[in-house]
This record gives sequence, C-alpha cells and structure tokens, in this order.
Amino acid sequence: MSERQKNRKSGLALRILLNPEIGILIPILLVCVVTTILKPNFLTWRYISSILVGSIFIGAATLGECLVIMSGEIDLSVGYNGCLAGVVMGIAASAWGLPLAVCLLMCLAAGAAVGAVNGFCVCQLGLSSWITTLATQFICQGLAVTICQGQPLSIMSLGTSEFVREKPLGLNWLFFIFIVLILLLDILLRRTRYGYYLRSVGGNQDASIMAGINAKRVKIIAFVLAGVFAAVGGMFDVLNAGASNSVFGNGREFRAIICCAIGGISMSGGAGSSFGVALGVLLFHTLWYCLRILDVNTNLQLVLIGLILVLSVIMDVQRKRLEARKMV
Amino acid sequence: MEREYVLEAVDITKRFPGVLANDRVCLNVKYGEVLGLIGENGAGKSTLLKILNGIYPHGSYEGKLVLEGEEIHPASTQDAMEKGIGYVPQEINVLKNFSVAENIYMSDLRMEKLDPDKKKKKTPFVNFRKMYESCELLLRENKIELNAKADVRKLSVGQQQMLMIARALATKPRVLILDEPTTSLSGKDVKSLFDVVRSLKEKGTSIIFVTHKLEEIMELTDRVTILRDGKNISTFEKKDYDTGKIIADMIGRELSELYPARKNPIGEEVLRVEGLTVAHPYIANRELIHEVSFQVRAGEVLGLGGLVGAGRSEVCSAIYGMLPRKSGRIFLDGKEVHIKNTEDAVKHGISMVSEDRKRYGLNFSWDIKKNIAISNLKAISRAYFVSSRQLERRVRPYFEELRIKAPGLGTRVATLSGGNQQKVVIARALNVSPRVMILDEPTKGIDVGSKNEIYQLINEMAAQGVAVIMISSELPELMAMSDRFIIMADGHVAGELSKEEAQESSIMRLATKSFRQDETGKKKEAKK
Amino acid sequence: MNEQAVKAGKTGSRLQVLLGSDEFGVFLPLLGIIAVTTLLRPDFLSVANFSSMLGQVTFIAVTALGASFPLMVGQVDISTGRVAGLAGIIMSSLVVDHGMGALPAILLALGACLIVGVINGILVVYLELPDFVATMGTLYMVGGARYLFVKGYQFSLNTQENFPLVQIFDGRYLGMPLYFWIMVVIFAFVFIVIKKTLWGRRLLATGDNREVAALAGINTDKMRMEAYMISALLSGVAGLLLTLDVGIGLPETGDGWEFRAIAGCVVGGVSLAGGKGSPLGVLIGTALVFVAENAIIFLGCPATMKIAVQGFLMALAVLIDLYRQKRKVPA
Repeated sequence: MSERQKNRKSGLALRILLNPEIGILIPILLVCVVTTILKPNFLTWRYISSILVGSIFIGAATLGECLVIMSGEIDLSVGYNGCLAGVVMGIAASAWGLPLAVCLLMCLAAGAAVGAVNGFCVCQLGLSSWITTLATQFICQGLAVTICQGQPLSIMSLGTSEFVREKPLGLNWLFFIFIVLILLLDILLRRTRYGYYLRSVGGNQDASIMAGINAKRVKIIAFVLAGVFAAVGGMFDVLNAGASNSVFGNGREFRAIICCAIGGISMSGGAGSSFGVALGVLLFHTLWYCLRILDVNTNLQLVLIGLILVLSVIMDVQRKRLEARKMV
Repeated sequence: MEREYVLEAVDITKRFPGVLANDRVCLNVKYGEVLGLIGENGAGKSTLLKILNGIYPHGSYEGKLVLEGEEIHPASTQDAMEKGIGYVPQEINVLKNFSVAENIYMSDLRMEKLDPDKKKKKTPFVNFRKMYESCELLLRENKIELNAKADVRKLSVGQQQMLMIARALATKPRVLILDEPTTSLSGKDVKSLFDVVRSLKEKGTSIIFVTHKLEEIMELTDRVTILRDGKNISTFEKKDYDTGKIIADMIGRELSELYPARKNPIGEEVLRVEGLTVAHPYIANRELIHEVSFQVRAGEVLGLGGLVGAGRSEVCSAIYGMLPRKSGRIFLDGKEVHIKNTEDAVKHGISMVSEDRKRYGLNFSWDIKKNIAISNLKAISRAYFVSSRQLERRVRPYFEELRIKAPGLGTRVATLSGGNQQKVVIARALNVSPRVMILDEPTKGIDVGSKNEIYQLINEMAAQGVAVIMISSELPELMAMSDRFIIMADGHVAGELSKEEAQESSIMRLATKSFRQDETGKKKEAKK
Repeated sequence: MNEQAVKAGKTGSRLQVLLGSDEFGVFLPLLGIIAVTTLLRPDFLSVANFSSMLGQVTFIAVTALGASFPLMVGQVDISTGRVAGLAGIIMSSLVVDHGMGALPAILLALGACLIVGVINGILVVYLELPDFVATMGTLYMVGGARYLFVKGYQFSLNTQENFPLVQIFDGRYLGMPLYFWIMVVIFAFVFIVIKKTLWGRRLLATGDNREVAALAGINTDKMRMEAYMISALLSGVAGLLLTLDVGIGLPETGDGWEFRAIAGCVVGGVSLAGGKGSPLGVLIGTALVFVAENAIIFLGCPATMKIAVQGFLMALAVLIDLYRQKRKVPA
C-alpha cells in the first residue's frame, strides 16, 4: 500500500519533470539565476532584449524543423536552404533590381522549392530523410557559395535598413514577426485539420493511413513548410545584415534539431508544441548567450550543447518507455 | 525393445492469460516418417511448434519432450537446434548479402562442429575451402540443387526456401519441422521441395510437415495428426486417409459464444469488385491475390472465409487503397470508382478496421476523443479549423453507443483494455458514416463480453443498411454472423456459399484447396 | 530439375565474378569520369594532378572506412570527423606540452577516440537513442573538446627534437608519401578482416538480418558496439595521419569529414540498410567523390560547386542502392 503511494508520489514528480514545457522553464531560470549571480547586471533589458532578438534566426528554422520531426522524419537542409533562399533574395535585389515584395516572395519560393524536393525524395521515392536532406544541404551550400563567390550581395536597393533599425519596445520588428510566426504555428498545430493530421502521422503513421489520412501528402507539406520557415530564417539574416552572404546558416540545422529536442519534440515523431519549441529556442539561445557573456570558453559551450542534446533525447526515450510500460 | 518414436511430446499444456493454447497435446514422430500436422486457425499448431523449437523455453509450459528416449529441455531455439530439432520458419529468413554456404554455416564459420574430435584451433579466419566442400556435399546428399557459392540475392523464392532447409539440415537434426513451407512457392518449386523431403525421409530423417492444404497431406505424408482447440483430436495412418474424415476432425468447434440474431432486409448491391489482382511486393511474377470478384449488398454481412495467408486481408487492403492494385475494378452503386489511397476510400464511404490493433489501430499517445475524431475532421471543422467543442459533441454519441468503458473521452487509449481499444477503432471507422464497412478479425484477442457487444454492433450496422465485409478465422463466428460467404485459398476465390450451403465441412473443403500458379497454367488462362 | 535453379545458382568464371561485383560497379563510373574529363581536358590525366588527388583522398578514405563499420551493421555515426580532429590535437599537445614520445602519445590519442566510440555505442545500442541524433551529440561534445587542448599557440611538431616521425612523414617512398602507404596497409588489413575472418562475416550478418544473426549465435549488441568503437578508432588514425603530415596539430582538422566519409561509403556501395559493404568499395567510392569534384573544376565549373557535386553523387548513390534493395526476387 505504502509502496503504491510512493509510486504515485514519484509518478507526480516525474510527470512534472517530464512535462516538456515546465521541463524547459526550469533550466532557463537556472541559467539566468547563475548568470545573474556571476554577472549582477545581467538582468537588465539590454541583455534580455539582446537575447530575444538574437534568437529569431535559429528560431525561424527551428519552427520548420519541428514540423518535419513531428511527422517522424528529419531535415538537415534547413541551414543552407535558408542561406540559399537569402542569396536568391540578395541576387534578386542587387543584380536584377527587383522590388521588395518580389524579392521576399522569391526568397520564400526558393525555400519551398528545396523543401518540395526533399518531400518528393522522401515520400515518393522512399529515400531515408537524413541522407536526402544531407544531399540537398550540400547542393544548397554549393549553389549559395557559387552564386555569392565570397562577396556579400547588398540589398540596400530595397530600403529595408530603416525598418530593421527601428526598435519598438527595445526589440526590433523582426522579433515581432517571429512571435507572430510562433502564434501561427501554434494555431496550425492545435487548431487546424493539418495540425491534427501531422501529429497523427507522427504518432502512428499506419493507424493514420487506416483512418483515411494521406500520410505522404502530410509529410510533403511538412517538408515544404520547413523549407519556407528556413527561408524566413535566411530572410531575417539578410534583412538584419543588409546583405546576403553564403556563410549564413552554417550549422543551423543541427542547432535547430537541438532546439527541438530540448523543446520537447519527440525525436520519434508525434509529440510537441509550438510554445515548447519556442522555449527550446529560448533556452538554447539564453545558454549560448550567457556562456558568452560569462566568457566561458566557446568550445566548452559546444561540449555543453552536445551534452544537453544527448540528455534531452535520453529523457525523451525514457518518457516513451514509461508510456510503453503503462500500456501493458 | 526397439524404440518406435524419435520424438515424443507428452501432455504439453501451454497457457496464455485467459487462453489455453495447448491442452495436454501429445505428438509422436516415428523414425523416418513424414508426419503431417494440420488444424484450423487457432488450433494450437503454432504454439506447439514454438515449444518444440525452443521459442517458448522449457519451464514456460507443462509436459515433457522426449528425443530418442531421453527427455530434453530446450532453453532456446539454438539449444533445440543443437539437441536435434531443426526448424524451417514459414517466412523467408536469410542473409541476403551472403553466399549460400555462408548462410548455412554462419553459426559455425570455423567448421568445427562437423568433426568434434578434431583439436580446436582458435583461428580468426573463416575456413572457406572446407565450408564450400561440406556445403556442396550437404547439398548433393540431400538433392538440393543450389550452388554453394551462389549469391543469395540472386536466388528465387523457392531456392531461398531450399536454402533454409539446407541450413536446418546442416546441424544434422533428428527431426525437421517444416512450417507451411509451400506458402510462397510455385507448383514447380513445390514438386522439388517434395522430392527433397522424400529423399530426407529415405535417409532416416523424420519430418513434421505443417500445412493448410489437404492435397499436400494426401500426397506427401505418412501419417497426419489433427489439432483442434488446443487438443489433439486424431491421427490417421496413410491407409486410412479420407478427406471427409480429416475435415470433420478439423472442424466441429463448440459454440462457446452467443451470437445475436439479425433480421434486417437485404437491399441493393453497394460494392462490386471485379478481377482484383495484387502483385507480390518482392517476388517477381507472383500475385498475392488473383482475379478476385464479388459483390456486397446493403444490409448484408459478407463473410470472407479461408485460412490465414489465403489473401483475405490483402483483398480488403486492396479495396481500401492500402495495397496497389495490378488490375481490377471497384464499383460503388454500379459506378466505377478509382481508389488510389485510403483517403479516396474514405471519401467514397468505405471504412476498414484492421486485424493488427497495435500497428494499424490507434495513436496510443492520444486520448479516446482525438483517436475517434481523426478519421473525419471535416465534419467538425469550419474552413480549415477544427472546433474542439464540436469535436466533443461529434464523438460522444459513439463513445456512449459503443459502451466504451473508460472514465471519459479524455482517457488515453493506451490505458484501455483490448476490447475497449477495439471499440475505439470501430468508432473511428464508423465516424466517417461508411456505406461499406470492412472488418478484419474484429474480435481477435478480446474477451467474450466485448465480443458479444461487437456482434451486436455489426447487426446494428447491417440494420442501418451498411454493407459489411467480415473476415474471421473463427469458423463458428463467421458462420453465425454472415449472410453469404466467399471462401479464399491461395489468393483465389475458391468458391461462394450461401447461408444454407455453408457447413463447416464445405467451407473447410474450399479453404484447403490448392491453386498453383504454374507458368503453364497461366498461359492457358491467357489463351482463354 | 530446374533450369532456372541451375542458371541462378551458377557463379561463372572468375572474370564474370569480378565484372559482376559491387566494387566493379563503382570502378566503372570512376573510369568513365576520368576518361571523359581526359578527352575534354587532356591535362587532367597528369601525374601531378593524380598524386595530389590521391594524397587528399587518403585521410577521408580512412575516415570513410571507419564510418563504414556502423553503416555495415545498419547504424550511422556522424561524429567521425570531429574524432579525427580530437586524435590529432591530443597527440600533438601531449608531444609539445608534455614532451611525450611518439608511441605513448599516439596510443593515448587513439585511446581517447576509443572512449568516444564506446560512448556512441552505449548511447545507441544500450540506451536505444536514435543513432543520428546520439552521434550528433557526441559530434558537438568532441568538437568542443578538441579546442580545450589548444593553448593559444601552435602545436608544431616540426620543431620538436626527438620527434623524428614528422621527418619520416615528409619523405616519399616509391613516389608516394608515407601516409598513402599506411592507408593502403590499413585497407588491405580491413579487407581481409571483413572478407575472410569470422568477426568480419558476423559483423555483416548483424547488419544483414539481426534476427538470423542472433539465431546463428552472434551477439548482435556486441557487434554493433564494436562497430562504433572501430569507427572512432579509424577516424582517429586518419586524424593522426594528417597531423603527422602537416606537422602541426590543428583543432579544426576533420571538420566536415564525417559527411564526406558517409558520401564516400554510400557512393562506394555500402548499403544504408546494412549488411553490405566492402573496404575496396569504400576506397573507390571516396576516390570517385574526389575525382568527380576535381573533374568538374577541370571542366570549368566554379570550385565552389564541389560540395554540390558531392551531395548530388550521394543522392544518386542512395537511389541506386534503394533500387537494388527493392528489386523483386524471382519466383
């Protein structure tokens, strides 16, 4: 009897710890507290706003990545896909002198196109997603570098620098666009039919097919949306820097996957929420930022990031095991 | 006194929660004979085989195994193999990137087990020379026509089956178990398989030959043992073989459940299938189902009978758009429909419940209401947005009518019992308001009470004019619930029976027919 | 009895076997690329060009050989490149900072690599994490750890007294640098291990069909664990070879090698489904990737398209492998 009570108690504690959203808030607070102790002026708007504004680049790509991971696949092309999309925007602005709206559209379309190729190869040809997206990553990187030839492509002609430099509430407009994207993603995941289908396919693809869901289409759309979000990330980079450059987005795919893992997106698909991912991005970026202002060795940072990734995936796997045990 | 039996299984009893799979089964195998083992689905054959070959280790069952007068306690498959019980599984199970010889001797790459007297050398190298030599010898001795150095990837299905037999023979078994070895073979390959079996018998190896096909029992075996409901019913000597008697002993299951009566009128034809053919996914020029045609009327329950592996589930999957069709047409209300995937099927009002509840059933991390609602989100959404209020309103009637026993709609399906999970699956299928409902083994693995409730549900569906196609491996259930029967064997429609014609014996006679897809046979058909 | 049986079971003459082998299937396009490029640009086929290409191939090829082990058992390891860098930096820091001799430094460096391999193995085999994500974690950890040895000055092995190894590496033997011959020896050794020894066959059997392998008495968990350890070990060797060649321990050694290695493996006929792979194929595959990149540049493509070519080749190779896997068995 007492054992059962104990079980229940530990069960509750475990559940709180294993709840993705709460699980992320605790380490974020912890990081902030430790940083504040070591650097008392940390808790000022200057630092906080800088963290928030800085997180949007990885953040945009992560929002797309989480869709693909939730569908049970993985996308390694979000980094250079975004980079290529940014370069497309840059070339449209600098070489062809196209107007702003067209440039932005071309940027998004480029990202969507790469996503569509990924989706086609994975769903229609049946290739494994990591090798497909790795290949497209290489191809995007090659194209981006080739187009740029080491020169940044200025987008001065678009006249966006004023807009980017404005600081509403001490942040910038891009940050608010990012917030809108998080909200849109949340609506997409929780309110729309597609969101239900996506979570269903990720949770149990065969059962979803039995329920009459076109799983292939759901996954292809996930890849295309991931491409669009990656392009948004690339667009942020370009708008922020005032020029496109082929070094943007280097390694972003890994960071996006890490953000998803710590944001409670199950690596086997199905589970996750938009806010969880946003918090995952925030945690990742806060940690990275704090380590930097505390002058921790940049390379120790990498070690910590790897450790966090492994730990969060171990948590995810254990969570799945707990559930499986409950099923019996 | 000379022993008569090489292997004796005495009073084997194996219990699963709620089921007595083997009830004091006895099986005796004589020296140098081919013993047939036959029985209906769920008769306890596979449980017995798993005990014999060590998948269920000694201690997990009651009774004893005696091999050549000595009691054995196989602890694992390998252990059973070493003690002298060879087993060839039903499905092809080989290393496809290796040579024939390596597949056969993978457990003994140093080639030491063949002559145990020799001093053992701890060499890290594979003895390829000796391996090929002994392999060629083994193949020649047993009249298996394979090349020891051949690449397995390039072998045909029949040759791979032979390879599995050779692999089992390499351990020099006293008894060799062949578990439905002819399932995926063509007529020609079956003939050469029989030749190999006969030559093994001549050399003194005893064989247990498990099959669904009476023809094979008649042709190949010396004795046949019949299992039913986990008990052994009878054993016939070759001279006493009689198709009628064997079938009579296979069937005759007691009616253990109550089947509610149904008295609704049968209406117009709803679904018609013409010439449905599905190609085998990984064997060239082979078909899973061949030219299957039938129709179902509104309010009718069509029983799709036959033994496991006859292609019943494949027919349903092909109609439902889960398997790509090679040819064949599907008509709804007399109009041809094109179903490319399950989405199309559902759009046309076809719904299906799969037999594999774990894999195709539910999203186990979700609650009841989402699992039911997912099949028809359009009904509860405005534009692209799902209304969670309507979701609850839509799902509740199903939850209540199907009497799903759970604290509430928000209960996670993983915590439900098998019967209640099945009800959620059926609720999800009903949620699309289907005109045709396909139920593949709807009562598999659930308790008697839930079974009865599911029978009542089927009756309610029929009363509402839904055309129901039902697959069941339990003959009494199938007979009680269906208005008409299509019996399948070997991927073909073996025959159609009306409710009056359908006796257990007539069903079983059709279900144990053989349809061999010979090249010659195919040509003849093409000419016609 | 059965015409088809005889025909399908036939192995044919030695030449036929050679022509039908997977290695030959990779070799042919390699020859094709060389031939076409030479036709268009004759100076492509110069000794200087090829010996420089072969030199570059060495390090990636050894890493690819390591990466092929997890692939052969049906898993993947993407931490190989960083492990190569780790080995190089550990060795040079031990020599320069601690005045250690060559042998103990090399052994300690390889020991560190083995530990990484063990961690990968534990994460994937025993904790059952998805292999890609788990090795990505170690990729980060090792990637950062490499730099922790750096002390703000270069670990120049050239200036070290009593460290003649670098001089040995500077020399050429039979026209090729020493590391090339070491690579040849390693490949020959691994070739024999994979093709001829019990361990090699069991390793491939594990990747081919884990169930059958287990039935044949193979400890498949142990095999997978060992595959990860060897992957890390060989990557370490690749890192050491490069470090000894350039004579300076650079932490960024090996960045990006992991994917070039996997590309080499895939192009070289290692199946992502596991159970198939040959060291010779890996070598030819890696060479093919390099030659193709080089040829593209010779034909006037911008050098920056190199990586795109690599991605394209990889996708193509996987498609071909998939086609082979899905081919139907004759009835």
